[in-house]
Amino acid sequence: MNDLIWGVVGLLLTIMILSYLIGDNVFFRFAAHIFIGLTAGFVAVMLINQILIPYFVTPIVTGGWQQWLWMLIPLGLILLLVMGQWSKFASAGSIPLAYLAGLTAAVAVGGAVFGTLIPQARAVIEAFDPAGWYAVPGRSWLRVMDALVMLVGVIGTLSYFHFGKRRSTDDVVESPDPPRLMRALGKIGQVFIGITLGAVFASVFSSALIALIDRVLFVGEIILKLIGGG
Amino acid sequence: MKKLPAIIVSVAIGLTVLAGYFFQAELSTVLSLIVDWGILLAGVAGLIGLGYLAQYHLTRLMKREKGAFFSLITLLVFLFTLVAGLTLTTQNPFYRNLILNVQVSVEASLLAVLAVTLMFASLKLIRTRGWTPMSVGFLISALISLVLNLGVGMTESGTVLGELVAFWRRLPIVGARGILLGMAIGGLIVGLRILLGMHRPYGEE
Amino acid sequence: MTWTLIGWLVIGIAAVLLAAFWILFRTHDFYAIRYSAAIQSLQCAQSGAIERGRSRQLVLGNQLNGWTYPGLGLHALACLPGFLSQESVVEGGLSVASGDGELVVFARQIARQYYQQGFSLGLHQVGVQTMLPGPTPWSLTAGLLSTHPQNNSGSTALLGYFGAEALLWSEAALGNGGDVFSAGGTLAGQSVLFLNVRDLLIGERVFMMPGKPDANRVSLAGWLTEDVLRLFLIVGLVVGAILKMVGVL
Repeated sequence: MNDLIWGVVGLLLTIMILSYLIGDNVFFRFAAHIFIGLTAGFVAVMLINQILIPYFVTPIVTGGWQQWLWMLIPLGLILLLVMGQWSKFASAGSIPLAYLAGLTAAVAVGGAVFGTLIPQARAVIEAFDPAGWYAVPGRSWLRVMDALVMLVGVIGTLSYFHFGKRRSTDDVVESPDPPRLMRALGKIGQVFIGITLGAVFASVFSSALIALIDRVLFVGEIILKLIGGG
Repeated sequence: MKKLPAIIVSVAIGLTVLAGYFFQAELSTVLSLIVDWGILLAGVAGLIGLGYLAQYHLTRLMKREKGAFFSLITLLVFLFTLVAGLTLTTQNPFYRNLILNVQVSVEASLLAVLAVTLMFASLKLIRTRGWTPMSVGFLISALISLVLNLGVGMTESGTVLGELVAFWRRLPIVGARGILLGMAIGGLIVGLRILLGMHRPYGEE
Repeated sequence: MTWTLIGWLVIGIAAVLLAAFWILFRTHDFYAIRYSAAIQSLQCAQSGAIERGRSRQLVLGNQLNGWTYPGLGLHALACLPGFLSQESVVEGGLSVASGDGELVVFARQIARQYYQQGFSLGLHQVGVQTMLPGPTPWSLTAGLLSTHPQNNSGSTALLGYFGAEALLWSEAALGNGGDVFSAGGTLAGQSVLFLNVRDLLIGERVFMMPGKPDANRVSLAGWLTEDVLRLFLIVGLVVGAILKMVGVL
């Protein structure tokens, strides 16, 4: 019985959200606002349970006076952050936000270099390992082609992003041209970017289609249960 | 002069965390403090953000603006979920059912709406972008990938056709790698601009 | 030489180049950035929206921190000052939305500090509305879709970190007769917006965004550093591949 009640709740919300397909309407807004309220409440609970309590309340409750003293710093930062939300004390918020900005920037720099730049560049270079080419006998030409396409494609894609352009002193109308070599490589890059975006689109579309089928099946299943056929 | 303390805080925190990638052992104690406080501040900022959400709906309700009824719904559900989550705990079967049944239903339905929207939007591709190397690459890749995703053309590995299909499946990685490398360079510069005090998103530009 | 050391070298070179170009641009003007039709179009759409008395919407994405696309959240914040203008205050109607509380708090701070330099707080309150329509990617979507018809946005700009759900935001804005511009998003986000958003910056090009059209020297230094680093990376990949083939690496 309990499952059926929750099933009906899910059914109603599903139909209300799917009604958006015929245009924005009150049913969609109703379901959307329930969802917003629910996620907001749930996120608040998670923030309190998983951040505020373990990182702030527990150290104060269980720690000694030294821990207490250390916690004065984040307490001060929190107070400044909260105070900063009032227009009168707006500048107070700049210190805790500067703290967060510095931390986020460092994480971004580390992530960009050690999480993306190095591993991706390494993967391109590793494809040229002759040991890998001859690992499968008779298919080495494919591995070589793979490596070459990877190198040319990545260089082409990077060239497409080139920002600068030739500068002339009488440059009244902005020239759309980057350097010629970059332009040529960029054309190759465009094809590879298109291929990537197309493949990603296909996988997004496939997942979305599976969700659509799942919802249709779900609606059918609950309706069958309600009329006693399931 | 007023902005100097904020710049010092931002640069000091950023450089210390960055140095922590290199001197992990030496800076582990300081790093753990900095990161813990950062998580705490981010959590409080998240709660403040939720406060703004509540404030927005409360204002709409008080001023009886258009959509005030929906704001009332949002506020009631928000308060109920918050109070129930704190009193019953998130492990309570009723609470879990509430979150799962609403969240899964709405998110899956929005994804289903996305499927239909994607279908219609894809018809506009050439009208939006014209015939460019990128749009042609997109079109061909999308069509082939969709066919391959359906399982058509599944061949045994080892055959020439199988190798070609596998080669095609690897092809999108090339552009993805280039895009990710480019975005990493962009991300690196955005981060460094803050670490060098050139850009100050904490205000006082 | 280890890969970690190479990583540090990259960070070091980038920092030195950025600082050097920043200083150089104080007195020299030797670099120009290519024309971007998308950014030009955004500027027209923004002024068009103000002239027609329609509001403008800025979506800063749903994440400040992200490991796969590091810096996208910060990038969205870096773009924000470019959208704050005197017209925003006088005409009103710029709404800044995000699915991350942190981003909303940052955005509010940036807007407030910007307007406090020349305008009263009363005007600021009218000018820019920072909001959190929903705290998760899908609740942000629900919020944007259910409030969009009411805010009559003439120009919507999508920045920062977002996924495929952005197609729904853009379709809603386009259906409302507004213009949409995008400079951000994950690969999934960019792939779906490729279908219906004409003014779309892809990949690293999203980082062309802050500073256009009146580029300051911070933006110029950033762009030039990116160009130089990209060239280094291209050369590094070719040299690395050759060294790998001959067995040195």
